[in-house]
Amino acid sequence: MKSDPIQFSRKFGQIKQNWGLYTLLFPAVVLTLLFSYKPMYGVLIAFKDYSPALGIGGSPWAGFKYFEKFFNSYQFSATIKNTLVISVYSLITFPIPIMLALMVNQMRPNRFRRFFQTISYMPHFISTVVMVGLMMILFSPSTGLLGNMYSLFGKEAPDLMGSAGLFSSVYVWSDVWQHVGWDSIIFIAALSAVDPSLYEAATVDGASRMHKIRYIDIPMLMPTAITLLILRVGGLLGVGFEKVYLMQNDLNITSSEILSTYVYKIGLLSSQYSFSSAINLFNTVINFILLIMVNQISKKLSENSLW
Amino acid sequence: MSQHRNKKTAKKWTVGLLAAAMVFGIAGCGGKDGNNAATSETSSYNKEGLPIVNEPVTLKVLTVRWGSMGDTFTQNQWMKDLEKNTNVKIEWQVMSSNDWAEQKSIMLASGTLPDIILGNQTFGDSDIVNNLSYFRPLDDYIEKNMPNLKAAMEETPEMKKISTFPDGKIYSLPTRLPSRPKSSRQPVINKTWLDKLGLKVPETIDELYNVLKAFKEQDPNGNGKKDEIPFIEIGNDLISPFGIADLNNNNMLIKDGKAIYFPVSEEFKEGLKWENKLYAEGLLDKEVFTQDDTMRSAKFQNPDAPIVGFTYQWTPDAVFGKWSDQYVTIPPITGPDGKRYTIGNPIGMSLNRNELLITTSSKYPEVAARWADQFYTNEASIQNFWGAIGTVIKKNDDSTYTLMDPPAGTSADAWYWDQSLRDFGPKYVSPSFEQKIVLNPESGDGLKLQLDKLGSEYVTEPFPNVMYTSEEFEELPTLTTDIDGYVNTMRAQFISKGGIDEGWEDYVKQLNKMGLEKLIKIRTDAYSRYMSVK
Repeated sequence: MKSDPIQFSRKFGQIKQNWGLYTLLFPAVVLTLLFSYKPMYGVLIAFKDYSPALGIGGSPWAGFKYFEKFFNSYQFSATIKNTLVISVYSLITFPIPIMLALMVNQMRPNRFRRFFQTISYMPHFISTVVMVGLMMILFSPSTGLLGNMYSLFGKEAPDLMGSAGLFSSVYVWSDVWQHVGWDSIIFIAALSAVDPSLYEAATVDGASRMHKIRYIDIPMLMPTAITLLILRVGGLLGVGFEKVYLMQNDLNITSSEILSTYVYKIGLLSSQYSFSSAINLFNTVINFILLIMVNQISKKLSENSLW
Repeated sequence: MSQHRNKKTAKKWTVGLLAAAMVFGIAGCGGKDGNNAATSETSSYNKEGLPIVNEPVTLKVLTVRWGSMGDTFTQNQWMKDLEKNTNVKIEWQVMSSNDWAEQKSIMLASGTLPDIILGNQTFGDSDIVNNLSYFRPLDDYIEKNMPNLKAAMEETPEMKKISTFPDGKIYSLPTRLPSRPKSSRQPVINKTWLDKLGLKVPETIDELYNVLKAFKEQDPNGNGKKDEIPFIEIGNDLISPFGIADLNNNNMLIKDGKAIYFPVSEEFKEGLKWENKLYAEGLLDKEVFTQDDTMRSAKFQNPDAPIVGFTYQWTPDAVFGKWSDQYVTIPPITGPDGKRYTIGNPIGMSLNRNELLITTSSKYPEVAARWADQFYTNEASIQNFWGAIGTVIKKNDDSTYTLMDPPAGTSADAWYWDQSLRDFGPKYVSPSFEQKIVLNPESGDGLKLQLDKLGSEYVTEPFPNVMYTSEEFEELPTLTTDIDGYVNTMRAQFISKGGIDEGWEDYVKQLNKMGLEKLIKIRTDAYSRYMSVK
């Protein structure tokens, strides 16, 4: 297609007019290209017998050898299952920050409300390493807070950190505790944008507090909630590496070995670059498919979608 | 000695760096081809004598230290003199073991290496074998430029044996450390508690069981609380009386000259049953599988009263803080077969390989080789192991060497690490020279040699640090990650929950399904190759 000279010059004129905005955009574009697009070339090593000395271009092709190796490996079903259990479990806790936001929104007076909000999002700033350290100390059955509480009643505390069955619960609920305040901020913001005349009209019509939440707050939150939910589903198999890895030990490993920790052990610690790239690529493809699927479903059902 | 470091501490520190590391690691995968053959030499290079070069040359040397030890060793007077005498200036790149695993991968992937790699925890066998084109074969340099090392290899042929790679060439240089013991960790018990309860030092596992039971029930620290932890285990120590002594952490044993994989052996099974019994009765620390280094050392040094009864340690002086004079090292415990076993190496734990590599990117390989050869004299070696003569070592008139006392408040071991390369780097101390080193038997290395006598005759032959070919290295990492991981998990379950007899068959079956046979074959092949090097 040939571009219309007039249209072209108009477009160029637009850029010229808004050059300041484009300058501001420029570093972001460069960063995205450098750190998100350029490294994608490295995905090639998943299909090669990669050796650092030969470089990406020079290494011989291996086809789908490493994907087959992973699908046939003993870790395949175990890591996928653990990853799914943890991420679906965390997905179920998705409404909790919304509930918190609805509660906070009802709070009067304002000073108490702000105080409560600050307290509730404070734990978000604890680093993961410190957080897991805290958990290990608090949950220690012999010397920890929990252990001492149980021994007050002459009982022995369960070993929360060393139990495979409880691993996902410990992981998810400690995460909820840490991030619920922070995650609710965006919902609180959405609620504060609700037009006060709606509430006034509802009051005139004799609506109760519960009615207002049900018929005003929740519908107003839906678009934000759906968008965040879609993004969450897109990362379903991408459970954060750090916290799980730090919480791992020989007793809970059967339910705490997830895709990303396995990739780390194989790829970075054992230098099996091609194999770990293959696993990671597989992970990414699944996430991508899920993202598109959920987006389509939500488009059909609620007219909310990412694009 | 800090041989054993809990991985968890390292884990904590590394995780933070990881995200960034991955991004840059991939971005850096461009790959460079090293220019091997060209050895541009400076015109001022001297083939013999000092200085090595007339015009100063700068070499980059990379080394890895434990944790946060830092680079104080570069201030060693011998090092300073070496720089002055040889005209070779050294630009040190000192890394910490905490984040080295990731840094290493990135460095290898990017292909940017310094001139010299020093210390055996910097690059391991697999790093070298998988990236041979980065490193120079050193056979010719040893022959022509390294008279000290050549003489050392003639005197101690094992030096050559351990550093010969599967292709028959030498890529990395070996070391022989002075005054090393034969036994690694040895049993340590709270003697004050034993005396208080009127008990003998335990000789057999049954006696040990009774002692631990008494520790648990009779409140030996006298604070009225049942806070005693009779036993804290590190690694597989507790089952060493069953004949399982695994110095190199590879789950392999040498039995009657044959290499066996012990996690499927009867001895291991019996050992687990015994540990399960101790665990069930609360004699083994309940948190043995979940705690990290810090939590463990908090127990060893509990401020109000000592709470640990029995454990395995290198020496008892440093671990227990203010309670250290309550603890003594005892002879190894007799196992059910009536024999004693100690973790260690009967030929002494003095030989190591991979202590120095010269890269193909170095422009001055001859200079580097001659520089490295300076480390292979007796006096240089002891100064790089403890500290410089005049600072740490005292040379006596009768040509013996003694060590000075560490500054107040510092443990001897920590002081040596501060003053020297210590365990890492090339060294050669001849067995005859060793006689001239007189150590204080009350602390540090002298103490260890003293304690070593309790266990040295029972030291078992470990599965040696064999070399694998690059083909074997393709299979090995995934096999060991999966199989050793599964063994650790099942071990933890068997000990904490029991069910060993019922679960054993499934456990072995699962291991076979994961490719145990292949793993054993790779290991035994490499072992027979190792034994055949003359």
